[in-house]
Amino acid sequence: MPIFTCENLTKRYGPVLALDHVNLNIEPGRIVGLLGPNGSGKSTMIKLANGLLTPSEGRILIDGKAPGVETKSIVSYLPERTYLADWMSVKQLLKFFQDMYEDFDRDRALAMLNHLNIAETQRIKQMSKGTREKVQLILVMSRRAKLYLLDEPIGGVDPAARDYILNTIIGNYEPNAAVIISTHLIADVEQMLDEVIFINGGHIIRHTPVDEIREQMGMSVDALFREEFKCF
Amino acid sequence: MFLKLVKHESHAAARAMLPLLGGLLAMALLARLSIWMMETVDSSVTNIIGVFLIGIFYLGCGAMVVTTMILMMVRFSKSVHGDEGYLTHTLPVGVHSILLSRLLVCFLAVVISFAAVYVGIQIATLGVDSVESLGISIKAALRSAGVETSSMLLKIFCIAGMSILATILMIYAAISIGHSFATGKTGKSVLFFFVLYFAQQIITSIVMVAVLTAEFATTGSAEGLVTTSSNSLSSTMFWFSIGQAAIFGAVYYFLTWYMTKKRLNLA
Repeated sequence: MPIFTCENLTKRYGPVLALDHVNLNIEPGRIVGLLGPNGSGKSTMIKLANGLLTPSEGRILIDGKAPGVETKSIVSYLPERTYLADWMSVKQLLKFFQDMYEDFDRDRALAMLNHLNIAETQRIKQMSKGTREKVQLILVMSRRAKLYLLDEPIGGVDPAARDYILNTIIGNYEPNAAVIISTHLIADVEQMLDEVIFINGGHIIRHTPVDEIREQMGMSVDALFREEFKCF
Repeated sequence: MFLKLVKHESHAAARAMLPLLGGLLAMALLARLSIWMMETVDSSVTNIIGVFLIGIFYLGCGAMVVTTMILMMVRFSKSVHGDEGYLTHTLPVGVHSILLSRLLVCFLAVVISFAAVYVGIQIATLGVDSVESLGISIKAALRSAGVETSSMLLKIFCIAGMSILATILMIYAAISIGHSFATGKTGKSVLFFFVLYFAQQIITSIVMVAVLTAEFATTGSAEGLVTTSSNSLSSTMFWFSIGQAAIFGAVYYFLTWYMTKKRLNLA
């Protein structure tokens, strides 16, 4: 059974159509790149999957269920902005995640924090933007979730931090889980992807295995993206 | 899971409240010290300082409840409709749990702030004859008017509790409506607070007039609404106050729930 399904999924913001009758299935165990230019509907789709938005038409299913309390316990979500309260310390955040998510692996989180020399006593407000994003990613990737939804995980960080973030994702996701990474920085992520979804203007214009792009089309994902989204 | 939310929400509230409570206690002690100095030292300087510190303490008492409400509202706004909402709304809990946990903790914070003001005044006026005799005089006056003090206090506490809950929910509703707009969220939250507040005042006034008219038509006097021979707060007035707070509270809760569940608009 697909872990992520969209059936005629449509989302309107007033007169603006963000997603237009999208149909999509993603199987467990795949790392999928949700790729598209700014305003293409990537974040809207991820927010719908998290129950942060309600579909205008159609439906979205996570492991066969509409977004709700049950699906939130199996989805680990990294939004594109920092959502951690800045007064909290790392220790308080670990306790919070441990209390709220049954699948949270504290030891895994501690190992990653130690690797970065981030002390448990450190507060979010004392950290740089990059460190905050790393802490957030560590918390998200320390869950043994069935679906990871990562919205622009490398959007606002330097290239060195990008490598750390991508290695953390590859090294920590559950093998049977699906990972959906929304980004427009394709060259950085394409080596880790099994499939790509090109989205533009609220339409899925391509959903292809990465190997197919490389073997049959003889192109990298980045090159194909540049060709398909060429600005005239 | 609800209790875990309450626990974490309490922790967040305590972090903001403890300095306030500590500050009020310190001001109460300073006010008491000032009163003692004014009673024992005959100096215009100590009198001026004393009056100043007592004034600061009473200002602090007023600010305590208002500041608590503001802190709790900021907390609600940030954690439910701000960036922290991305975490709050992806926790495996329902919207009712999210709202009720915040409502409960905010209510307790306001009650604690009122209690702190009461304790602060008790500390500041400890052993002051004029204040103690004022309290005794009020009790005696109420008793001679046939008022059962304990019964009246219980009713007042019930009405105050319901009114606090309804007021918190009105502010939650205003914040939730204000944050459904793309821009000017804080300004629109304030605007909708006044819209809801004035709507409530108008509706309450209309219903109140209707109740008074009905009471007058039945008994030939509306006096029964305000006083009875044994109790200064009649059952009609009590249930009217409780009922209107409960109805408005329920409406505001539904508005907050609807806007949070169906019209959530995180930036």
